[in-house]
Amino acid sequence: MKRQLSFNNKEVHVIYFVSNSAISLFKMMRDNYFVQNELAQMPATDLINEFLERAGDTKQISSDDMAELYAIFVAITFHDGKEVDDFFSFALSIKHEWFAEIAQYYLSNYTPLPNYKVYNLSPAKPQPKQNTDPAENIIFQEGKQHAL
Amino acid sequence: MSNVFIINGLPKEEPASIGLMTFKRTDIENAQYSALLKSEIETEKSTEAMYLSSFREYPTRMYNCHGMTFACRRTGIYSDEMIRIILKEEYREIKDRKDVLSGDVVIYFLGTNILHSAMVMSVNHPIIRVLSKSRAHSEIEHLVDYTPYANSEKKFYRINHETPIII
Repeated sequence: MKRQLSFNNKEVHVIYFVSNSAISLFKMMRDNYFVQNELAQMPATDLINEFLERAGDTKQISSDDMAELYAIFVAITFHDGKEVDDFFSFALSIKHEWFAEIAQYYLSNYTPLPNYKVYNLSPAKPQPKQNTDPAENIIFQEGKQHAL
Repeated sequence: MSNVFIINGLPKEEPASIGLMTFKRTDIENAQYSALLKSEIETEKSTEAMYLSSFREYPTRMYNCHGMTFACRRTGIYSDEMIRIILKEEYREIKDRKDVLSGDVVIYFLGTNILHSAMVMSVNHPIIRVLSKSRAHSEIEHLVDYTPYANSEKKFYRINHETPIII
């Protein structure tokens, strides 16, 4: 199957080469300029399709190919929405190296909750003197860390 | 309706594990992978420049850097949390680089994340050489600062069993 994305990024290959755990790979890939500013700019659907095409290629054995597969996988984490959540829920079943672990990490730490509420808490009684302490005007946000 | 995804190309891996614990008997999660990508062997030579050194022996996925540093090469340790437990229970930090001795270990941090670990092999201040290993690749002896992890923060640790002194 023809690949839509072309890589010429040695940094991505090096990240895969040097990573020693799923989380360090995930963090380094997410911090990478190419992953963040080029790959992640593509629509989630395109990235998912590219990942599925490459992951379905049984001839794919090179470590550079694996590095690129992870780069696409991590680029998807910059997106959100039902398709992305469904994809990472599915990815929990990819029992190859660290894909399932990264998917689990993403779902646990980056998925926004569906009911996102913002509460503005102001003092119950008017204060005689205007309080300029920012700690008195706390905004509580209910929800997990957002993907972006 | 949920999206349905299917892939066939990535073979299922079921890593084994062994009983591993700190000297305080805290269990340490670990994983032994057996299969090795042929390409990883082929590309190894081309990556030696990143260390300014030469790989030795043979590549293996039986252990990773943390498995070499903390588990006697018997298995791999892939969780930052497990490394933190080991460091907390068994090691103390050597704050000053000039106090580092051979036999100490070095941890490469990226923020709060643990990227890599290695064993100090020789010290001739300011030159510190370590033995390390990345992923499935062979072990390699190199300068502590000359690695692909060059931008990371390096912290040194020494074993600390808190043996009581009998008077």
